[in-house]
Amino acid sequence: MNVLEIQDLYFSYNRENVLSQINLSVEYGDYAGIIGSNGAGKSTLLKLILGVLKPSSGTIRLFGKDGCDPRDFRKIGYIPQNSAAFFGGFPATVEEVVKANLYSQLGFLRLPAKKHKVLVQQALETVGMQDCAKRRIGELSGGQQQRIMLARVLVAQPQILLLDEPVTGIDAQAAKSLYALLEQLNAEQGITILMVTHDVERAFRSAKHILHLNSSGVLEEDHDI
Amino acid sequence: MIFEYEFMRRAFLVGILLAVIVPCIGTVIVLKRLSMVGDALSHTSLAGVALGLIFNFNPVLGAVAACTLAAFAMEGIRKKFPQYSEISIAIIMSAGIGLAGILSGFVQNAQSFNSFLFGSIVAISDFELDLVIIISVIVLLSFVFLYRELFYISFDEQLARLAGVPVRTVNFIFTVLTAITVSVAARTVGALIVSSMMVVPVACAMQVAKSYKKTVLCAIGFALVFTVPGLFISYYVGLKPGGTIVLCGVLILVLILIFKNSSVGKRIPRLRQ
Repeated sequence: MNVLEIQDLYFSYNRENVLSQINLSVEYGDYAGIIGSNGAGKSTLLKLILGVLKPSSGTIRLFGKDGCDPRDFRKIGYIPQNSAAFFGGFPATVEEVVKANLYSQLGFLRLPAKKHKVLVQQALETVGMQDCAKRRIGELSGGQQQRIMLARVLVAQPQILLLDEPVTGIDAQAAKSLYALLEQLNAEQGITILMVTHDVERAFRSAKHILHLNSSGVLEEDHDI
Repeated sequence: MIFEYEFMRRAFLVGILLAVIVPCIGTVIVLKRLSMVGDALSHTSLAGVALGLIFNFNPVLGAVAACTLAAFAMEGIRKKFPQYSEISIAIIMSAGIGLAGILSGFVQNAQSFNSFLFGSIVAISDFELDLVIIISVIVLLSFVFLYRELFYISFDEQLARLAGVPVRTVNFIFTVLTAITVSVAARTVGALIVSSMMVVPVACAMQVAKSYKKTVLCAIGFALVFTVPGLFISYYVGLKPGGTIVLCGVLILVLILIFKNSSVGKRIPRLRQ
C-alpha cells in the first residue's frame, strides 16, 4: 500500500520549469533516496509534498488523500535542509525543542502531561541524546543538533520522515551514525523514509531504492543500486 | 519621600507593568530576528499621536490605531519579501517618520507632541493609567496562553505550521499585541526609546539564560531591574525617566558582557533551567 503517490506532477517557478512529469510511489515501510545535482528541484519536491508549494499541475496523494491535509501533519516528520545551522544562538534547551513538536497532542491549555515527558525522553533515547535534555541546543555539535532535530520529529510518532539533506554540514563519523540510525528506524519501527541527499555513495548503501532527479527536472529510478 | 506623590506612584505602577509585558513581546520579536520592529512601530505611532492632537481625540488611541495599521502593513510586506523581512521594517519606518514629520507641522501644541518622543511616565492621566492596566492584563494573559505557539513560531515558522500551530492566527494576534504594547509604551517611556525597552532586557537575558522559559523570565527580571532604579535615579537626579531607564539597561548589558568575557565570568556556567 502506498503512503505517497505522485502522478504527472509539474512545477514551474517564474515561468521556468523546475519539475516535469514526476511520477513517484512510496510504499509504507519504504526507504527511498532522491539524488540529483544542485538546482534539480529535490527540495522543491519535498515542499510540494508538504503542501508548502502548490504544483502547476498533477496530483500528490499522501496517506490516500489528495494534497497534504493539515490533520495529517502529525504523521509527517520533516527535517529541512541545514536545519541545525539556524538554531545556533537560539535560547532553548533540547527538551524544549523536542517537546514543541508535541503541540498537536497537547490539550486546550497546552500543558504537557507526564506521558508527554515520557515521549520526549523516549525520542531522545532513540537518537542517543538522553543526557543532553537540559543543554542549550546551540551548545551541541552539528551532528548532535541534527540528532535532536530527528528526535523532534520522532516524538510525534510520525509514519513518514521527509529528510532534506540530513547530513549537510556534519562530519563523516556523525553522518555515518545518523544513516545507521535511519536504517534502524526504518527496519525496527517501520517508519517510511524519503530522503533527499547529495551523499550518493552512502545513500546507495542505506536506502532501499534510489531515485535520480535529473537536471531537466525528471525523476527516474536509479537501478545502479 | 518619593511615594508621597501620586504621580510617582503611578509612574512606578506603569513602569512595572510595562517592564513585565514589553519583554514578553520583545523576546518573540528578537528571536524572530525582527528587533527593529519596535522602532518602526513606535515611530509610526507618532503619526497617530499627531492625528490625535490635530483632530482633538486621545493621542494614545491615535497611536494604537497607527501602530496596528503599520504592524499589519509590515506583516504584508514581509510576506512579499520572505527572505528579506527587514525590508518591511525599513519601509514602514520611513513611511511612519515621513508621515509623523508632515503631520507634526499641523500640531498646535508642540510641547504635547514632544512629550511623546521621550515619554512622560510621570504625567500619566487617569485614562492612560486605566489603558496601561487593561492592555497589560490582555498582553500578559495572551502571552501565557500562546506561550507554546509563540515559542515554536520563533524557533521556525514552517516547522510550527507542520506541527499544527495555527501560524497565521497566532501571528495576527501577536501583531495586534505588539502594536498596542508599543503604543502605550511609547506614551510612557517615549517613542524614541521603546525599541530599546523591547530589546535590551532580552539581550541581557540571552547572555545568562539557558532555556526559552528562563530567557522570558530573566528578560522580565532585567526590565524590572532597569525600571525601578531608573525611576528612582530620574526622580532624585532630575533626569528624563525614559532615557534613564534605557541607559540603566544598556549599562547593565555592557557590565554583563564585560563580566562574561572576564576570567571569572568564563568559569561560571549559564543559569540552569
